[in-house]
Amino acid sequence: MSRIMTYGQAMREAFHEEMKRDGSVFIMGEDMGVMGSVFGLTKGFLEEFGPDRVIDTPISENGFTTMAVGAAVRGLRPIVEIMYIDFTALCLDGIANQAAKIRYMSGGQFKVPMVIRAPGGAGRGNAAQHSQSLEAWAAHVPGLKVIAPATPYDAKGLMKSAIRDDDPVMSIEHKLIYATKGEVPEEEYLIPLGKADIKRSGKDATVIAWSRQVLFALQAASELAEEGVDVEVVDLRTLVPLDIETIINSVKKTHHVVIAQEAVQRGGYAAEIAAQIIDGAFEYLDAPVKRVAGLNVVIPYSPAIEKYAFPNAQDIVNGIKEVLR
Amino acid sequence: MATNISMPKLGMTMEEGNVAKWFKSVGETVKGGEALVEIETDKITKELDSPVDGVVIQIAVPEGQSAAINALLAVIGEPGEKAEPVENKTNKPEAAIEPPHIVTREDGKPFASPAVKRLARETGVDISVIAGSGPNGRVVERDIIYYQKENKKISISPLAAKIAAAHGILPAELEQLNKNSRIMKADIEAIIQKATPIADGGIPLTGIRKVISERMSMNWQTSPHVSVEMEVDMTEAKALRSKLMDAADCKFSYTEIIVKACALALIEFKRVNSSLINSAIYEHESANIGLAVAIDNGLLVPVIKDSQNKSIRTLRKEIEELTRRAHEGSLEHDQITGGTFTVSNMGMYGVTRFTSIINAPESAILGAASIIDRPVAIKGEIVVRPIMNICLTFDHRVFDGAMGAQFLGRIRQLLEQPYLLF
Repeated sequence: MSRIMTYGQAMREAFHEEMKRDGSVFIMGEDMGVMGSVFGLTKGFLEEFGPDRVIDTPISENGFTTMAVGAAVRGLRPIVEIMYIDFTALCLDGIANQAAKIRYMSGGQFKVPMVIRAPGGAGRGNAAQHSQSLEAWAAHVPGLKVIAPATPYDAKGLMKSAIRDDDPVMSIEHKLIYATKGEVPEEEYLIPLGKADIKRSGKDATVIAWSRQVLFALQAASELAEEGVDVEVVDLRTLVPLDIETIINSVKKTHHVVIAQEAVQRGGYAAEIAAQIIDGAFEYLDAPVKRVAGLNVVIPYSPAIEKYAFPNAQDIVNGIKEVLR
Repeated sequence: MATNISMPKLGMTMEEGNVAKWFKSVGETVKGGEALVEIETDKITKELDSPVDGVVIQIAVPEGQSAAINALLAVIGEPGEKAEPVENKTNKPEAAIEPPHIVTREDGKPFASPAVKRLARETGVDISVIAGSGPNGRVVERDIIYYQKENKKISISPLAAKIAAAHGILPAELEQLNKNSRIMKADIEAIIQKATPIADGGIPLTGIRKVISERMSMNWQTSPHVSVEMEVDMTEAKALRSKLMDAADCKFSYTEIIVKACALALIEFKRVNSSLINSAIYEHESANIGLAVAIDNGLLVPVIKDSQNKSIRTLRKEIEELTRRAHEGSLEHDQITGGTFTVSNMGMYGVTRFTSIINAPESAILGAASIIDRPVAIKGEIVVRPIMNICLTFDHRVFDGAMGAQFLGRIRQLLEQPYLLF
C-alpha cells in the first residue's frame, strides 16, 4: 500500500520513524522546535519527543554544528539542520575538519554518526546569499557522505539510511521540491546510500542529474520523446559515494551524455562526473560530455532574471540536441 | 532616413506574434510615443508605440496575420518617401545540409569520435575514408552504421547516408532499392520526393544512370581536366605476357601489366597519387588503383588496394575476382572505396585513343587504348610494332603538364622494358 505525500512529509516520516526506533536520534537547528522547522518538517515533534530531543538553537551555526559533532562522538545521533546551505560557510570547520575527519584521526576509535541537513537552491527570489547549491563543497571533503534525493520516495528511504549510517552524511535538499508529491509505501523501507536510480530508461542519450534537476530532466525527456528521441534519466540520489557503475553502463548504452546541475558550472560536481565518465567510458562517447549547469554568476534577486541563472527543462532539451548533433 | 519597426520579443518563449490591430495606416502621420500597432501573443497583448515622428510609408504585415520575432512590421519615414520592397522571410533559412568531407587532423589521424574509433577497430572499417557528418566534419556513429559491411549489403555514399539519416530513411528501405552499386544522394532524393513525370518517349534518368550522370558532371566541373598522351611500343610487354602464360597456369591480360606499371610509377610520383580535399593536397602512401569495369547501362570502379606490393599474378587473380563481382553486383563496400588512381582499359574495343573523366577525389586517370600494329621509325628504318596509346587525364590544380608527362613517360618505360616491373 502506498500513499501520496509531499517530499517534506516523507522527510518528516523518516525523522519520526527513526526517532521512535532509536532514542539516541535527536534533532537540532534554528526553529526546529517551537516552529516545527521553517519548512514544516518537524511540526509536532517538540510536543511528542520533548525539548531534549528537539532543540531550538540560536543563530550560531558554527557553535551548534560543532556541538552536534561532540554529541555524535559521545554516542548520540544528531540530525542538524543548517537552515540554508549557504550558511555552511559558517560551520565548515565542524563539518569538514571535525565531523569528516575524527573517525580517521582517531584510528576508528570514535565515529561521528550525524546527519547535516542543508536546504538550498534557487527559484524563490531568496537572493544571492540564500539560493546557492553548494554540494560541491561537501563532495570535495573525504569522510563526508552526500545524499541529494529528488522524490518523496527517495527522500524517506535515503534519510532513514543516512540516520542509521555511522558516518557523517550531508543531505542536500532543494527548497522548491519540498512540496512536490509522490508515492511513498506504508511499509518500512530503506534506500542504500551509493546507489543511483534510472528514473527513465532510454537508448539515445543519457541525462545524469540530482535533486530538482531530475524533475526537469524527466520533463525534457518526455518532450523529446515526442520528437522520437529516447532519453535515459539517471537520478544519482547519492553524490558521495558515486554510483559510477550505473553511470558508465548508461553511457555505454547511449553514447551521448548530458549532466544537469543547478549549481554554478565552474568547479561543480558535474565536472567531476564528466571526468570519471571520460576515464571509464571514453571509447563509448560519440560526442563530448555536456554539462547543463548554472551560470557562473551570483544569483540575482530580481525574479525576472533569477530564472536565467540556473537550467530548466528547455536547457536540458537543448543540451541533449547539442550532443546528438 | 526610414525607421524599421520589427516584431519585438515580448516573452522568453515567444517565437511569433499576431498583428491584432493597426492604429495607423499607410500615409498617416504618427508621433514618437504614439500607439502604432497592437501585438498579441498566446500570453499577452501589447501596444507598440512608434519610436519616431514620421509617416507610415509601409505596412508589411496586415491585421490578423502573424509574423516571427524580428520580422519587419512597418516602416516609418518622411512624407513622400518610398518604401523599399522588403521580403518578410521567416528568420532562418532551412539549414542546407553541408556535404560531408573527409577531415584529417594535423597528425594525419582521422577526425572521429572515440566511439567510432572503437567501432572501427572492432569491425575493421577504415575510417580514414569515411566522411563525417558530425560537427566540424567529425565522423560519428551514424556514419559508421551505414558503412558496416557484415549485416548489410548496402553500400552508400557519405552524403547519401547523411541525408537518409536526416530524413529518417531506414536501412530496410535502402535495401529495397536493390541497387547493384553505391547508393548516392540521388537515390535518397528519389525516395524523399516523387519522381517528376517524363514526357512520352523519354527514358527517365534513374538508378545507376542518374548516379553516373551526376558524378560525371560534378567531377568535370570541379577539376580542370588536361590530357597528355604517349604511344607505347608493346613488343616486350607482349613477349612477357606470352611467356607468363606459358609458364603459369592462368591467363594474363595486359590490364595487370598496365596496373603494375602504374602502381610503381605512382609510388615514385607521389603527387599524382593524391587527393585535393579542402584546399589541401593529400599524397597517399599506397597506390589503390581502381579499374573501370563496364556493366549493364553503367560503369563500376572496383579498387585494388596496395597494388604496388602485389605481384602480377596476384593482380591477375584480384582483377578477375573484382570483375566477376562487378558483373554480379556483389562488390563489398571497401572494394569500391579508397581508390587513389584509376585505370581504364578500352583495348578490347579497338579504340585508338580516348580521354577520361577523373574519378574524384583522385587527381588523375589513365586510359589505355588498343594495341595496334603500326609502322614506326626506329633507327631510321620503318618497322611494324604493336603500339598502344596511353592517355593520362589529370587535375591541373594538383600538378602540371611537366609532371604528368614525366609520370606517363615512366609508365611507358616500364611497359617497354617490363622486366623493370620486378
